Amino acid sequence: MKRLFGGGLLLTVLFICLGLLLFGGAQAISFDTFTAESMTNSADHRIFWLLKIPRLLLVLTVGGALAMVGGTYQILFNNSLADPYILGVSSSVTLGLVVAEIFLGWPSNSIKAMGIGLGFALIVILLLLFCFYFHKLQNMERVVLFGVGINFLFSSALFILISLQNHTLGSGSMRWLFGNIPWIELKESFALIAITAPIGIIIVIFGRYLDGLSLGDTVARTLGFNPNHVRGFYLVLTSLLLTSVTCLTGSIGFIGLVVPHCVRLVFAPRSSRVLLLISFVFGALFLAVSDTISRSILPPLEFPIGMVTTLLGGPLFLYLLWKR
Amino acid sequence: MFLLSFTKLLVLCSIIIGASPLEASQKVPKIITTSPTLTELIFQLGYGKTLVATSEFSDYPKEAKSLPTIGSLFYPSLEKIVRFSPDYVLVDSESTPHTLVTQLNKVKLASISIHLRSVEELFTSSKTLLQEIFHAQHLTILEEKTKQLQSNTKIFSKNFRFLIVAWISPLTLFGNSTFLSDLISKYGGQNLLNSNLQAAYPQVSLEWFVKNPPDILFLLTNQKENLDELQRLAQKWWPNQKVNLVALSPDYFARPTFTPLEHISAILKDAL
Amino acid sequence: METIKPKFFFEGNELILGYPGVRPLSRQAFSFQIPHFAITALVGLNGSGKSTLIHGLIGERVVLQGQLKCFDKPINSFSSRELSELVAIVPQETVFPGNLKVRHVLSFSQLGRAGLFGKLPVFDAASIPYIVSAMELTPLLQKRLGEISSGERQRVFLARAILQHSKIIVLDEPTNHLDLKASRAFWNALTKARALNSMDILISTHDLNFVKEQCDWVLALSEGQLLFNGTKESFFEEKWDEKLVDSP
Repeated sequence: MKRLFGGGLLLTVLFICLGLLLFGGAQAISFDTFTAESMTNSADHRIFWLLKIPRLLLVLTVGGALAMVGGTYQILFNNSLADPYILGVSSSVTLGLVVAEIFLGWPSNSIKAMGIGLGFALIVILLLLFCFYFHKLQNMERVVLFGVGINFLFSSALFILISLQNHTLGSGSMRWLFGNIPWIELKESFALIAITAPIGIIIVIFGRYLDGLSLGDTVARTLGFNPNHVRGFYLVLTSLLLTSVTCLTGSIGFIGLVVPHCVRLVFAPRSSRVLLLISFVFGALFLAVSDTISRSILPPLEFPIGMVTTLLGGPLFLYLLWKR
Repeated sequence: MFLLSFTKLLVLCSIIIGASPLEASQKVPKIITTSPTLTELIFQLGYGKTLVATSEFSDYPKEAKSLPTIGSLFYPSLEKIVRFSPDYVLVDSESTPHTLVTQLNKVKLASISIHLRSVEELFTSSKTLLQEIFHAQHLTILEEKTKQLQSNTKIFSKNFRFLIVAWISPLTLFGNSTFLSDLISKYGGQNLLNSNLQAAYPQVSLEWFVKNPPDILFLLTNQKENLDELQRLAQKWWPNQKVNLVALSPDYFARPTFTPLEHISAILKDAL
Repeated sequence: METIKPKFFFEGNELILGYPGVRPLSRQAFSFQIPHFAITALVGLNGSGKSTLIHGLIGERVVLQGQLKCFDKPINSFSSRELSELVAIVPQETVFPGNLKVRHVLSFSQLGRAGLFGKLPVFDAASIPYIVSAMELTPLLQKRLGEISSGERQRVFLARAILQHSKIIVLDEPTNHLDLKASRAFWNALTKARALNSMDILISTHDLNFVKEQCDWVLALSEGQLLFNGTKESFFEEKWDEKLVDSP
């Protein structure tokens, strides 16, 4: 009974938030278009379907995916500070996009550039799998350190490339550091959902594997799980999910780290499946709210999304630590 | 006969000496510039010879390419600057990091901060440079440019609304406090961005952008793909309105010197 | 002196312990058998190979030579599902997420049997197995692992292992980090559990008092070699406890 009530409350809050996001927020579609009649006005109608809906879908998908991957990594590596970027897959994608833009002249929102980003990511994924299975690097600490190393390496390369560019004016390099919510068409947002939904669903379905790992590798073996196979499996899945997300938005920080912790603290979910599902919902909401805020502080200015998530997530994270 | 040639020679000499910007007795100051903009400006004022070193990528005019460099736009090297023992280091207020000025003060090198955020500032900064650094006798060059600007802008009587796009994604526009925006407003344009906005290159939300289509949309690029991309997007966002898309080549318009002044009229004539 | 039935639940033949790629732990091959239905203590100094042997029992590759068998079947022939029904472990250091609730930890005990889509048992006020209340864990059910003491946590992990309803329970130095009171509570819980379920228990421990009071069989290792394999009575009568301390 209590669970039903909690669930109903959650859904109501969700719908209110969604409503606010769609109709409120950005000053362009601000309070004067709140009424039903002005929705038939063609400019606003166009803005709604051309801009708002795809953006909302993108933001919800990306936020949810990031939270889900973060939660997964926190279990896989038994590390409460794990976030989706711990393995360096995202920085490899970002580096690939920058390389494509600088050396090949392909704009970062083109499929060709995303292909380069994917290529870089695949190299890192294969390296990780190799170390993982063959090099006796099966100690999780070592894998995490390897990821940290890759992050440092690729971030430095990124900074060097950005600074070597010929700047003539305030460049778009912020987006590489803080992430960016690009404009995409409705059909592209559907394509994103079509790619991420199956991966997300598989991650949730096999959530029992994560439960098996949560008490340590030794116990995991006696519960019928091979920790290395489970990790390898999830590594590939989450990396694919991260790559498709990072190709579009770059690295947006804090969601993957903070949201699963909040969920654990508040809900104490009974299994990883529930944890990941709730994390997805709250991650999606968190990013959507951050996105709205980024455009509402000083319209028509839009602050880089990563900046807002960090400003919101940072204090939240500190509060969580303090409460523990 | 001899007296005539000698007089001609004297006249010739005095013309040469008189026309020379610098008095023969005065020392040629050694100048270092820290941005390609300043390099070009110095050349345009006629004092390219005084430059001993410039910032990297100082490619305009062609003569500047052969000058030694002291580092990139955001990372000038103090060591390299000191090595040239300049008399003045010209600092670009928009791009050079403030730390350089502090460092230059510490090593007792004179630095001058040049502001080029509007057309007025271009003229006043040029005047200051000519008078105080180069001790120029006359400011004919400035007077010419002023006259030229006035005659150019007089022809344009129509008011139009514009926006200048620096990057498409994320959508970054030129603010009111930029040189280019100020220049175009002299020709009757009105930057749709709020003049309260202090930021020079604000990133704006797409929804505001779509809701406020300008008459002319400028894009700073010389790559056709970017223009095509913006064209494609403009058709999606403003299918019913006519928004004039104009490409501004960074070769001419990326630096706030006298170069944009020369080229903008032709562009605007086509657009309007 | 009671006679132990000769059926062995755990035996090793011509073993040389060691991890692949690392220097072998045992200098010579050794064999041992541990009988069914006895509480067996695995004793030895640190580094003697106790943990290695236990990890061998749960299916890790720890033998460079020889074979480990469980109920006459080689351990590496068990599938993961069969292994989960065979062995449950309370490891030396359990990694635990601090926010996990005790009752959820207990429900994980059936993960091996439930697989991906089977139903996991729910432990709430309505259905508490006797073993949980016998081990005095009822008041802890709603608490999170990070909120309870380490002694209580060890009991929770013991209960989880017991609720797996496996044939063997292995405990790797379970009271190492516990104080006297918590140790006593743990051994009490183990005794009660054992009284309710007849399973084979293998405990690696330094607590020789417990060995004397509760165990039936002793397997003593030293430097990867077998030191003693026999009844508890023989172990203490022949002063192997002192020989263990004196051993290099």
